[in-house]
Amino acid sequence: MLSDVKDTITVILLKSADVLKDNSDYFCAIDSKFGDGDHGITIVKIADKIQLCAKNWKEETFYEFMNHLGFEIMQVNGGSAGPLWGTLFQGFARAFKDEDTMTPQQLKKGFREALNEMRELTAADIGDKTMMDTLIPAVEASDEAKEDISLILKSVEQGAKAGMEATKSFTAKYGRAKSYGERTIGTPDAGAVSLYLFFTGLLEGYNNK
Amino acid sequence: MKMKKFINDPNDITDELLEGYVEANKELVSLDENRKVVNRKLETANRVTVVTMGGAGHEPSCIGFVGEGMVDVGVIGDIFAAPGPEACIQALKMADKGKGILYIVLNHAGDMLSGNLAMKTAKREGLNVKKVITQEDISSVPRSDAGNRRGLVGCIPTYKIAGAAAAAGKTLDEVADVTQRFADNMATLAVALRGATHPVTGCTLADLDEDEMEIGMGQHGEGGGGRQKMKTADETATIMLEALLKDLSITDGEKVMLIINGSGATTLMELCIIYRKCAKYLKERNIEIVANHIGELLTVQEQAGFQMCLARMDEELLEYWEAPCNTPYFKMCKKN
Repeated sequence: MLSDVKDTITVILLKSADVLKDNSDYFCAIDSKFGDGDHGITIVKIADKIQLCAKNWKEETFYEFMNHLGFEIMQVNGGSAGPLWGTLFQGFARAFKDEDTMTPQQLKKGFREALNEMRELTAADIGDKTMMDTLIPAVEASDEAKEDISLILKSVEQGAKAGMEATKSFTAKYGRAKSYGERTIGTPDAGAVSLYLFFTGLLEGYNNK
Repeated sequence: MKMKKFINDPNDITDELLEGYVEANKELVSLDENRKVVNRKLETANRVTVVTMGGAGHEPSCIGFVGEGMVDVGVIGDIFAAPGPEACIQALKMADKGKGILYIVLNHAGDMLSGNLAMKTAKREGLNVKKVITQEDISSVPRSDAGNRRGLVGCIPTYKIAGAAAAAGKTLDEVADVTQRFADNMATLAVALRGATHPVTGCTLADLDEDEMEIGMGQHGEGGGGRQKMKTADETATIMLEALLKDLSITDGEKVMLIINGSGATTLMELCIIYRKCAKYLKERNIEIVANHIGELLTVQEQAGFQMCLARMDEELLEYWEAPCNTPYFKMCKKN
C-alpha cells in the first residue's frame, strides 16, 4: 500500500476513534435506559485498539493491517460489541486480500464484505433495533454513490444517519433491551448510534486529511 | 455518579476480584492468562471436560463452580460482559483431554456471539466440542420460543449435572444428552425489588419505586404480571411457582429440584420464607422436592430480589446432582 494512502487511512481511523471516545458518556447514557449502561466503556476499549493499531501500523498490506485490527477488537471483553465490531473490520479487510489498493470500487467492496460477514454472524435485520439498522442502509448508500471516495463516505454517513434515526421507532429484538419490549420505542439503539458516529468520524477524517 | 462500593480503580475490578478469588481458593483452582479460572485437577483429567464463560459482577457465578465435579475452565469477560471469542477458544483447547469438551453457554447476546465464533474455530481446528445453551427465563417469551429466553441461575445445576456425568466417565454424546435433557426441563423466574448499580459506571440498572416489585423482565407479563405493587412472601412465591409449574407442565406425583437464589441484597431469612411457602405448596400438589438449594449462586451486585428455579427430575439426573463435587462455592458430600 502506498505510503500516502496509508497515512490518510491512519488519520481517518484516528479521527473516528476520537469521535467514539468523545461520545463515550452519551453511549452509556443511552445504554443505561434498557441495557447495562456500559456501551460507552466497551466502545472506548474498541477505540483504544483502533488507535493502538493505527499508530503502530507495521503490516505490509492493508488487508493484514485491517484483519489484525479486527482480531484485536474481537478480544475486547465487552459482551457483543467486541465480536461484532471485530467481525465488521475483518469483513472489510477481506475485500483487500488480493487487491492492495484503496480505490472507490475497493472501498465499496469493503463495505459490502463487512456487511456479508456480519450477516453470517447475526440474524438481526432492519427493524430489530441493533447496529445493523445503521450498517445495512450505510452499505446500500455506499453502493449507490458515485465512484469517488469522498462521495462514498458522505453517502455512507447519510445512510447510516437515517438508519440510526429509524431505530428510535423500533422495538428492541436483541440483547438486554429486548426484555423491555415496546418501552424501548423513542430511544435509539446504542449500538446503532455508536456505529453511525464511527462513520461520521470516517467522513470528517477524510475531509480534514 | 455516586456509588458506595469497596473498590479501587473501577477499571481494575475484574482483575482484582479474580486475583483475590483464586488466591483464596488456590488448592482448587488456578488463574490462567485471559481471565481463565482452571480446575487444578484438569491436567490429569481423562474424561469429558466442561467449559463455561460469562461476565463478572455475578459472583460466585461462574468461577465459583470451577473445581472437582463441575466446571473445568470458566472464562470471565468484564463486568456484565462476555469474554471475547479468542479467550473462549483458548479455554476449549486447554480443556481438550481427548475425550471431548462440553461447552455450556448462557443465552445472552454477547455470550452467544463469542460462543458461536469460538465453536466455529474449534470445529475448524478439529476439536470435539458440543455446546449446550441454557435459556430458561420464562418471563419474556413462551416455551415454544426458547431461543429468545435468557439464561439465569439454572446454569449452575446444569454445570453440576454435566460435571457429574463427565466424572462418571460418560462419552461426550452422553454427557451432552443428559445435560441438554436437564436444561430442557428447567425453568426460572426472577423478581426484583431494587436494582443493581453498575460498578464501573455507577448507573442504576433498574428503576423501581419503593412500593414496587418486578416479576420477570417481560414487558408483556408472561412471567406473572411484570411490574406490580409489593406483595407478601407467600403471595410472591405462589405467583412465581405457579408460573414455573405451568411452563414446565409439571403435574401431581412428579419429582422436582427447587433453587431459591438470592440476587445479592436479599437476606437468607427472606429466601427461607419463600422456600417454606414453595415446599408447602408443592406438598399439597403431591409434587416431591428431591433436590434443592437456598443461597447466592448467581448475583447481580446489590440487586434485591431472587430467582426461583424449578426443574423436573428423574433418577439419572438426581444421581448426578447428588454425586460428590468440590468447588469453592458448591460442594456435595458423598452419600452414605
